[in-house]
Amino acid sequence: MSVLLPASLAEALETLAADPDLVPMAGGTDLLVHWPQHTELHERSYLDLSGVEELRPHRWETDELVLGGLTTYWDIIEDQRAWNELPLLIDAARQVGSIQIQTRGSWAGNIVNASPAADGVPVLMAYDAVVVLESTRGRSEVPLSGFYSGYKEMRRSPDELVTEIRVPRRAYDVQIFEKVGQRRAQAITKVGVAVTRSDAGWRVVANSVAPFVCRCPAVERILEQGTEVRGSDDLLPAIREDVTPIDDIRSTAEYREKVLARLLYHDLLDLCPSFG
Amino acid sequence: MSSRYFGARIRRNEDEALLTGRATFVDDVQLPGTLHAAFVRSDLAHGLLRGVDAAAALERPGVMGVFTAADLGEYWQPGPLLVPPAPIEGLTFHARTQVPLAREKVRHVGEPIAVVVAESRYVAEDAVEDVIVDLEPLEAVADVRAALAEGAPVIHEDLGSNLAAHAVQTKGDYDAARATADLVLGRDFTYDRGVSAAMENRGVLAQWDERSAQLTVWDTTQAPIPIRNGLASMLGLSESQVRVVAPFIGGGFGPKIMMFYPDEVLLPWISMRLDRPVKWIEDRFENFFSTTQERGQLHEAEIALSSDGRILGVKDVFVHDTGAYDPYGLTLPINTQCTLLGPYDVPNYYSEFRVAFTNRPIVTPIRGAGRQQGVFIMERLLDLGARELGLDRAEIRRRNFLSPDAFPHDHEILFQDFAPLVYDSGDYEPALDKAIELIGYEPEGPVQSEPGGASPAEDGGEGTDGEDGEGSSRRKRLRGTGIVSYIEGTGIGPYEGARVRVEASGKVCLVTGVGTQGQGHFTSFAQIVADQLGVGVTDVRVVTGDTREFHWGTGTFASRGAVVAGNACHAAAVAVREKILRKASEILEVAEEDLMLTEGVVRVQGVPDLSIGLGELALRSNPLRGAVEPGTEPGLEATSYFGPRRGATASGVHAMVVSVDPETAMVEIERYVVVHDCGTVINPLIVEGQIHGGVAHGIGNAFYEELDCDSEGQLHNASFMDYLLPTATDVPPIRTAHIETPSPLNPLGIKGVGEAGAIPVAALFAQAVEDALKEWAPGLEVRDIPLSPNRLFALIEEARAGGGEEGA
Repeated sequence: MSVLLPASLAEALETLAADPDLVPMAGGTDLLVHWPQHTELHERSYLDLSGVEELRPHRWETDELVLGGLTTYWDIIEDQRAWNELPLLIDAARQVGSIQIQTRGSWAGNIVNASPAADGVPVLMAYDAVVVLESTRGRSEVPLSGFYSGYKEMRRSPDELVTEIRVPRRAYDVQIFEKVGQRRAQAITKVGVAVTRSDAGWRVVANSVAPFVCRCPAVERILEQGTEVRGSDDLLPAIREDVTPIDDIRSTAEYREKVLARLLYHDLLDLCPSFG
Repeated sequence: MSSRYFGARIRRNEDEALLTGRATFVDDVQLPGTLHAAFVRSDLAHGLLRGVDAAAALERPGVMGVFTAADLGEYWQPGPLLVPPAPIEGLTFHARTQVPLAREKVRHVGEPIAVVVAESRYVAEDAVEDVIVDLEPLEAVADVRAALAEGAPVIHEDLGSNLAAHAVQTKGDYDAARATADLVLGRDFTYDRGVSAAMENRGVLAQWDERSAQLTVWDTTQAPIPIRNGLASMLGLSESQVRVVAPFIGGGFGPKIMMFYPDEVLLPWISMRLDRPVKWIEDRFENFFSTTQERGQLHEAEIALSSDGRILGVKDVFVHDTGAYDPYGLTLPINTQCTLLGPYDVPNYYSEFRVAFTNRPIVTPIRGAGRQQGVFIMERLLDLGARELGLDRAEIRRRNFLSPDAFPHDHEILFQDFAPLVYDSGDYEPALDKAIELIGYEPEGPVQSEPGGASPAEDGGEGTDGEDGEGSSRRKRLRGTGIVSYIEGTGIGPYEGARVRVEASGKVCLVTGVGTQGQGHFTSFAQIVADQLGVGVTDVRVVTGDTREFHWGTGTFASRGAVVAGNACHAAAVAVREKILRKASEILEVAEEDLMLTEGVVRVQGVPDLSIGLGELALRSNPLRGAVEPGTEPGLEATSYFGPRRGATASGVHAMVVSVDPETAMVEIERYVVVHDCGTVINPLIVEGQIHGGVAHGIGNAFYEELDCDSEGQLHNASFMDYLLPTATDVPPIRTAHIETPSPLNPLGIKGVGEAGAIPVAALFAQAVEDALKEWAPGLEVRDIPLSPNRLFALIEEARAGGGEEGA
């Protein structure tokens, strides 16, 4: 195992271009979880980005919040403007592991780790975040909702780094994030959902119910069209169209499907006239 | 005797060292030249061991040795049967105890096959990967029911089946009682396994010193003296050549008792062969396989009741999973059998159990030790009975309590210590009343609330909890209350000892043979002695768990430390007090009756100028000139032993309020009350700490902790990422109250408390959750523990599907 420590973004991108097998590493919080069991990780080489200071800060532009590639959950938890404007980021950040993890783990790392149970990704996706990728070949932007193509598969080339996450600043009248784990804290999500409504329309994003965190277009259509929903079971056909939950050690497909429907139904009951 | 300390809420003497990180744990002991061990463990739950090729491992730089069963020669022998079976009539019992390293076959995942010793743990772990093990898979049987089925793969071939034991204990005539009953209810129950999850895993450091021919072993054991005795015997050494030290230990809970685990047996032997210290510290992953587990049982139980809710009889037939070996004999199923009777008058009882070997890690006691299961069965049967008869849940218990004048009460069956199950003392109704008061329990009327009416359990007003961070939930929460009783046989023999010595400084040294794993011995034992000797509680230095300091004893288990060792401390302190007064009487030329012993000084009543300090007295009891008179001993020192005839019966009532989110099946415990009777209380602060820890342990067992083991004996969640322990957010504040019915079986009147908190929690959880869901999911019954959120979800779905629409 070797660890390379670039001091600037340019150096990091050049190093990665020279050896795309390198594993980029920000907080290392996911890496350490797998370390004891996945001994093949011990043979890999790592690009430790912790010295690339320019990736750390986040900034507020006129129409967007821009997270750096190394911005941590804690950086956002400490930002009062995020509490006011994009509160789901706070809700999600506070659900991640423990405070120790929140101070190390990064939003970008959460995106590229690509866990179906990621806590940070659903809220970013519900806010229409855009992933900014850079390499020595240039810069590209991919909407987070189109970033994943399969389990742990994503539109990032091995020589690219996530350098920014751009979150539009919009006025929302609905912002909901729910996480159901096996216990109240420090538990991996069994089923979770983020919902927003703005001028851009409804966004419904679910996690732990598909190979990757995803939008639920059929459910969004019900909301956009004001289709009548008389109980949580009425949402099930749309949910089954949108997601493909499985039975695993943490839960069952049935639980995930039904609870997702119930979370949505009860959270939206007072907000949608078509729900009754 | 003044009683300044006994019964007082005193902060713990040991906490400063523990909280500032200065206390010594096994892994803190660093010896120059130490080698490190790592184990090659079986990947299969059942297989024939065809061969082990260590050649590549031995070539790795830094590897000092690889040992297999064949290398052990005569030293290879199965571990001792720790507890022989009780003399129950008609008993079948087959002892098959664990081996140091697998020889011809492996019987559970994680069973050690070879041990690698190297200059560092890193090298040792790498070398483990180099060892090639030739294992031929055999069909495995992980399920206890399947293990006893016809044609099941046999784990110990010579037995011809997986039956490890079979026993029947009876009292009265259950069948006759059943014939006269107004109501007979039968149900099947399961209680699954978990791990003990001590904060500190196990560890051993063995050092053989060739020059002094001394073996020193630091071990996370709860029973250093039996380990010393066993090692001396196995290694052909004198007991005086072996010193076992159990320093501070981060939680015992049972699996650390005196197992003679492979590591405990092998490291001393390896240290003697290589003439180097050898250390092994278990990691958390290993702990899920190499440390013992508990609680797997299947019950078919039945209760016979009269129409007014009196218990006429109970019948319980159960299967107990002992895992691959049964070194602890029948302690667990007998505890289940005995504890099931609870604080109740059960005139007729039929209890039959079978113990089965399975291809899973070994089962030995964990905090509660079979008692949880018994309490769960009895309390569930009473809940079902109350529901069926339209009786209040607290009332059915009250009607069946043994009355305060029923003691000593003989249940006519044998307990785990081979003595008849006789309760020494108790008074159960005041505890129930106190718990009802503290939790705010409202007795239920004989009739359930009318269909369609507002449910008293629903509480829309406080349903959403702003503090819990669970988002903008608008879902209703259903509230329920539970209240259960239990007893716990504690403080069994055979004996413990203690030595008390006043030193020339005037301070006191107290030594006992038991080990300590967080129980507060450094304080509670000091309190006992300080009162007798009139010194401050911090003036008593307590030494535990070092066989060089005290030769005789058994260990810390079965909630016996305070009862047995505590009374030995008391007896030794009383003897030293007598010596002090006798010596002071000689020196001061005053009758003993006129002497007072306070603040480290012997004073003469009414003569303020005439006194002598304890230090001075100690010096003069050990003169540099002159002879020790016949019949006397030097020093202000005494050694005493205490062995109770049988165990003391502690008891309690637990109550809780839960709120259930019926949509997600997540449960929150809002309030928790424990009313507890552990006889006279030495230190309420310590007792409450023990209870709080026990309740947390019980909450984990009841709802969160579940080993996900498949039919091949493979565990799928051997990490704390997916084996969920309750965290601070899952354990509510706990209110405690104490009832004291002193035990007549020991001079201090103490009963044990270490396991108590954990014992009734599953029974309580089940009742409270059922209460919360009684209208939402009519007919829902909790019969399986752990009741995980997933299982509860399935139960709710099932009850709502089958229960019809009458609630809507």
